[in-house]
Amino acid sequence: MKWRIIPLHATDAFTAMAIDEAVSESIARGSLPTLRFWRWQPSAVSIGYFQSIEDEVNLEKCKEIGVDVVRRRTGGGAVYHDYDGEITYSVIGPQEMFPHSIHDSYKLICGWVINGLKNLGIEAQFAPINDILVGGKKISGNAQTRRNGILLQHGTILYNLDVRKMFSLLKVSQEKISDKMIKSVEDRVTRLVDFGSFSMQDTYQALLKGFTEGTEFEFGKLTQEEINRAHELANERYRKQEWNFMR
Amino acid sequence: MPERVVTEKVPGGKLLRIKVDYSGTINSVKITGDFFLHPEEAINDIEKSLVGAKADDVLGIVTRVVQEKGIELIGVTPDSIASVIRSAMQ
Repeated sequence: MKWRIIPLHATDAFTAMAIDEAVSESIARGSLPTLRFWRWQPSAVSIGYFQSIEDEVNLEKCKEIGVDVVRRRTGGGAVYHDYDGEITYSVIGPQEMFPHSIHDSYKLICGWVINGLKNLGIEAQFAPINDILVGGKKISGNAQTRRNGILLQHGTILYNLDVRKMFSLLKVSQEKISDKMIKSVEDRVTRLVDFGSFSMQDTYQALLKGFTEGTEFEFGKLTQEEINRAHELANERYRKQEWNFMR
Repeated sequence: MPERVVTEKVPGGKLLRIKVDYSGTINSVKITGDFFLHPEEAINDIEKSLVGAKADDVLGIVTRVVQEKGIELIGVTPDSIASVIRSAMQ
């Protein structure tokens, strides 16, 4: 099946979540399956569907430095998304395009990320449930939901990371933010900048090739209907306290 | 009795942080964490079905709701959810 590709763009956290949902709705009505690449602007924290925002996020600090906070409609953990620190993708298509097993569908889509990293000369491995590792360290986290016959998987590829900033925004008790803990994150997480001087654009091109190799696709953009619906969803759900504080 | 919170990392899986308000039976329960559960809204069915439950009933109720609603759990199991809830009830 032919894919619509929406090239790398930047969007705020609430609109980003709303676009994924608006596109899912339009695909349920027959639009092309869609792959989009995007960056979080401003930088943001996202939490998993089942997490408690107050348990996970230092809301005061986020407000102070202008970092948005949003609940995703996918499960998984809290993530700090730095505008200069990562590229995010969303894969959205009818469920029947993907393996029935959730594990196998993670493996398939994460395989596209792995192919993309290979284009940069980086050997990565899928690490179930939902991670991608390089040299045993995490470089990508991914999360999936299936609703109304549509599969959405979004995930991030870590380009750079300021561990100290991340810890100031996520709720880790202050005593844990010791050099030892920062060292332990550095032992578990890796970034593209550790492997070469790739620009964000190089990374995007490599990922795009990894996701689309052997598939039929066309570059496109969101329809006006999708844009309108995304604005509506952003305002009625993703910006709302009822949603973000629901658990 | 005030709300009790128990946090546990499921071996080979994800983190569960469960908040239970309990006085002989469960008054309310909130199941949070970084796990996956499909369909997501079904977490409310599990939580609601546990209201009024005694500790010994918890595993049976979680298992039944998961089966009846066709819930798929990733990174946690009915057993791990029930075990953390029961820890919070002790």
